[in-house]
Amino acid sequence: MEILKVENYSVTYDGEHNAADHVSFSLQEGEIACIVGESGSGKSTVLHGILGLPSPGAVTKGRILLYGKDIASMSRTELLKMRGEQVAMIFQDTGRYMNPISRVGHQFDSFLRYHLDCGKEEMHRIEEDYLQRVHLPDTRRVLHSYPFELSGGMRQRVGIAMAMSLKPKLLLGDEPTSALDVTVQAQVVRQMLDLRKKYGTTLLIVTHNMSVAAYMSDYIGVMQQGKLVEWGRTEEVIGSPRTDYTKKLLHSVIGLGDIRIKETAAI
Amino acid sequence: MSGTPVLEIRNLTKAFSMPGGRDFYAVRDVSFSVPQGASLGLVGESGCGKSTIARMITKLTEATGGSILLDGDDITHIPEKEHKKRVFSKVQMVFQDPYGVFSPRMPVGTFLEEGLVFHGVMSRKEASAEAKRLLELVELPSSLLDRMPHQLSGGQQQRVVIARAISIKPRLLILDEATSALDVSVQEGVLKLLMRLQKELQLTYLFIGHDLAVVRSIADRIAVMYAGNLVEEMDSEDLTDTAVHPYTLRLLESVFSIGDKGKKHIELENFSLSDKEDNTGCPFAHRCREAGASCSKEQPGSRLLEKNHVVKCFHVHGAM
Repeated sequence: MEILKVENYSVTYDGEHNAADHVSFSLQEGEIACIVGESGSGKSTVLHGILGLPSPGAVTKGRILLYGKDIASMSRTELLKMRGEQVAMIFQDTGRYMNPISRVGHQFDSFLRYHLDCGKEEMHRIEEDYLQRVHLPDTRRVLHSYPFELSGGMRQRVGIAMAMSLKPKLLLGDEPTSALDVTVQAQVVRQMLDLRKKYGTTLLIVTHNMSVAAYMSDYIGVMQQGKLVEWGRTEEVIGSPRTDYTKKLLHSVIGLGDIRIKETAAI
Repeated sequence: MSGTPVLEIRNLTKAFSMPGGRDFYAVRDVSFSVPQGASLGLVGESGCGKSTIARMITKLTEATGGSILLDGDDITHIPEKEHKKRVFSKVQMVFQDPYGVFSPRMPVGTFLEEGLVFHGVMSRKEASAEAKRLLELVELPSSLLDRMPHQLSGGQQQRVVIARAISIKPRLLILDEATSALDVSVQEGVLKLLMRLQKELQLTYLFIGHDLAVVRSIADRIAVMYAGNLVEEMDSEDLTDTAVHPYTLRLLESVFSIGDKGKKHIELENFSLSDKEDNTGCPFAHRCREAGASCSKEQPGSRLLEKNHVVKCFHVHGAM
């Protein structure tokens, strides 16, 4: 089943330059795609589009279909319902989107209350359940904490738990692991893969980390100056990239045991 | 490369008193040295104490134990009025976010002159000619001299910051996540520049980072820190083959590389931060797959394995 279809999507912020320029791709249920590219390439713009965030008029062309329904045709109420229930987003630093003076549990409550019609006890059950799923220890303490009392990795896992809690079919991630330590990053990647395995969740992840993208995705898209310059199965994009830009990006990644930096000094 | 090391750190400790009388060790009993012209990579995750070490060397925070020697000169506890002569003129630092280093309304040229004039290396007039040379040194066109910092790209900004840092010919350059905020293709260029400068000017680097692959690509030696402790130190070429500390191995397992798809298995970790609240025992014990009973009771000491390979773990070499 086709979950997401992006067709010729173009967005401009200043009326002159296209932050997204005729971007087209689609995702079937249970697929994982990663969009890579450098800062300012338009990766986040596409994600924001899927959540219906751009102001009217910014979208100059194309459309985004979610379960076949055009996002531009949704009313404000429909959009608010859609966000969270059908599509959820994990941000780079969940901590920044949290209210610093409100306990984690309280913020989780208000998120659930907006979307679900259930009592306090049911809400707490859901909250603890999902925090456990992202392997947060001592869930009661986490819910009772203020955001600053948790480590960055823990806050990020809270963000993932919240995003997962309404069982959205499509989960978006805007650099979801980039602010994390390497060991925590590996954990979060594993958890996102588990989501697909257990619940058939479709994932669209934006990242600048080619290695993470290569590891977790079925499809890779490469963006450059607003254009999706490459889109294909991960093995193909990594193994035989079509564009020079993809080649350059792949070549720039420094792997363990890379000696080219030291070689520059030897010349 | 013999003689007095440029930087020597002995049993360096930074402890904060916590409510309840317990001490929190941001850095605990860390020793290492960096010889002239060499580079030491300090890796570890956030909060492991790597930046605290940099802050102690640059006198931004005072050590609570141990000593720091710059060219043999003990600067651990010196009066503030001697900081400029004994520390600031010898140690320069490059941070992660280059834009934060600039004064937003100071042109690049003036920014480059500042350090030279402040440290009395030359007059303002001479410095303005030097600024042009410095830009060339970091492979930037001299047309950037009149630009404002926001008109430069992130990579250009970091190059300018590096140029200013090396302008006063420091003995030691501390690079604290200096390439972490840059795009991959830009990062590669800056790393190559740093390598070239080190070779040409015989610079000594303390390269701090969380990306094992990047740190390894530039450093001669690698020191791995966990929770304030230096757990393993070795030649950087030996990292992937001979690392033995369970934490170093965990870090290595966590690094993704492009050809990993379908090959790598990530194990889920279950540990609680609250498991580790006292200061006894090995700092990594609560996350360690190898941990035995002794690990949470006693701190492992440093032991020397082969040439230049130091590790703090009870389980290495069959001991315990």
